[in-house]
Amino acid sequence: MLGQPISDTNTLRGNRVYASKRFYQVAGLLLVLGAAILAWRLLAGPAQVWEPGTMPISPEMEDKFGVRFSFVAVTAQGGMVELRYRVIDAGKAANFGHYTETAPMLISEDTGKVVDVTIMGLHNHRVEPGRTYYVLYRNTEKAIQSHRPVTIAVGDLKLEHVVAW
Amino acid sequence: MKHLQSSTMGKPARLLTILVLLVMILVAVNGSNGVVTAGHQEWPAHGMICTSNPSATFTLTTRGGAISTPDGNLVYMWGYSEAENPFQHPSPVLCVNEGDTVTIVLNNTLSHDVSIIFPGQHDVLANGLPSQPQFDLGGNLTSLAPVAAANGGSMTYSFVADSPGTYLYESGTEPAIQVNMGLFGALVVRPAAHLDWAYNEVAISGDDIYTTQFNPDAEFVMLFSEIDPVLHMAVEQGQPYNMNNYRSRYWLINGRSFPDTVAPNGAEWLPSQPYGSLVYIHPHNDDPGAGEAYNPYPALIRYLSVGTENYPHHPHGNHSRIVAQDGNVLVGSGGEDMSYEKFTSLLGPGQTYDELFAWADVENWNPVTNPIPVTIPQLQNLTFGTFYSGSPYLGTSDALPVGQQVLNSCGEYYHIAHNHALQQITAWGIVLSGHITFARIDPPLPNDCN
Repeated sequence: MLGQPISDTNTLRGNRVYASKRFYQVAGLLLVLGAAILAWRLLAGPAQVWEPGTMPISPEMEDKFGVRFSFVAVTAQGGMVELRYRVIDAGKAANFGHYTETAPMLISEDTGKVVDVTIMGLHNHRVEPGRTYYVLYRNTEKAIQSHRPVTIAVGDLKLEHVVAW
Repeated sequence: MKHLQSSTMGKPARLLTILVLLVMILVAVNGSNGVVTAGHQEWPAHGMICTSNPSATFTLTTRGGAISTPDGNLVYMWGYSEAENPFQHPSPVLCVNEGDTVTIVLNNTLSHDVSIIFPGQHDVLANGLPSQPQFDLGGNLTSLAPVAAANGGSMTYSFVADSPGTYLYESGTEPAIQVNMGLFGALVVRPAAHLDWAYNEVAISGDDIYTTQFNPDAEFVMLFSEIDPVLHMAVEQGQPYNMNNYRSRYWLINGRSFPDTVAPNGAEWLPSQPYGSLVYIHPHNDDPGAGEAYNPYPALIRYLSVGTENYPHHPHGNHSRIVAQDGNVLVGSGGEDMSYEKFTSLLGPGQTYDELFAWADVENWNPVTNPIPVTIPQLQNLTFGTFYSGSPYLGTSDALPVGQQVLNSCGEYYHIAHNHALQQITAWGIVLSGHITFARIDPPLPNDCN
């Protein structure tokens, strides 16, 4: 500092003091904010973990429609959604998907967006017990997202918390 | 004094501290989203997945495993897997460059002798000696190539890949059984001087010169096969099987039946069937000033068949240009262009085709600047296809009749591509499966499709 005016040194120190105060203020605010969010998360309980491929069973749907759903998958670069199901009771399943009240629809549990029944199912009215069949849907507005929860709705029955592949 | 101490934390340190606090807050906000990472997440969702390395040396290990079919069945299979990798079907797509000395070390874990033959390759060696058919003491043919003995045997094959093209590699031992069981894969030899050409040759047509240059982001493989599940069950149970009773029940592209064919590479629900076959492209555009939409080169589709039946494969919407068959480029000795456009390619057992495919908006139809000169009838007087967006213009969606559903998310086009032997688009009798896939044409980039 030889040769440097005292007033300059003071000015420099003054800036440091101001910068340090601002740093503590910002850091303190962030710490309080972080602590608040952490407390909120802890109080809210653990985050829901969605395991892709999760497929609950609906005894009501099986009894009414004669089918057991096996998976929902997002496919074709996200442009389509596939629903697959196994026939348990061929008699009851014969009309599955063919009428409004037997047509499955998919509902995103994140957004409530719906993909409705499509005409690209692969079966006619003759289905065999134990065989698996599919329905392809338009993934309207990318409604169904991979690894996210979906509800399968058929008529007035719902199967919740299916997780799409 | 306190201020002097704090001032020793310089500006970078203060910024770093703030950054760390921000990251901690973001982590606290996000938490875990429960996403399970895919086994092959580094792969592109669509297109050919090459297995390659600089030395063109591969270790293939035979393994048994199961694949799933869309009708809910599981079928026991065999396959060649790379090194210690688990079972996969089909076996890896091996990619090498012209002139490479290719070495394949076969380790056999199965309880049957196994070998590999390389149709189209010359002077193949097996453990350093010419690879030749094998006979027993009675003079009966036992294998088309020296074997890796059952239960731990090994054999090393090598050859110089001197001809670019698309080829098969497959078992030469009990081939009727072992190839159906899944011991096959694709071998791609790229021209050394032009890795984005299918072949070295140029063709001359009038004043024009043509090459087989393609868009490397749009290179696809379609390996057709078939399965008789009764044969597979007999092999799994160690029972005899009479080949006179052979009857295919499943037909697969890249080891999958539709609709699994259009699922992405490495789809999590198909852990043993890693390869999809959706042809995913954008419109042809040879204007360098078109920015992201610039897309001057066609897609390349490499077709192969290891089945026992003819497969008349039939992409809708566009013809493909066949530029090579069985690794032979269709250019005459004088440079004549002998490639040809085809609507249906009859893919025979053991054959391969290389085909260039592009979708071009030839008429440049546009709802504002160049509308189609047809008065479109009212909605209720129209019949809609499953993939119609409500608008005939690429990238545009429009109103649909009440209740009409289509498979379209951003005005993209879908062209089905299927085997025209209709019993081959079934899964053990269930229709609309088997040899079906799609070409998806998205609007020019940039778009809002993904």
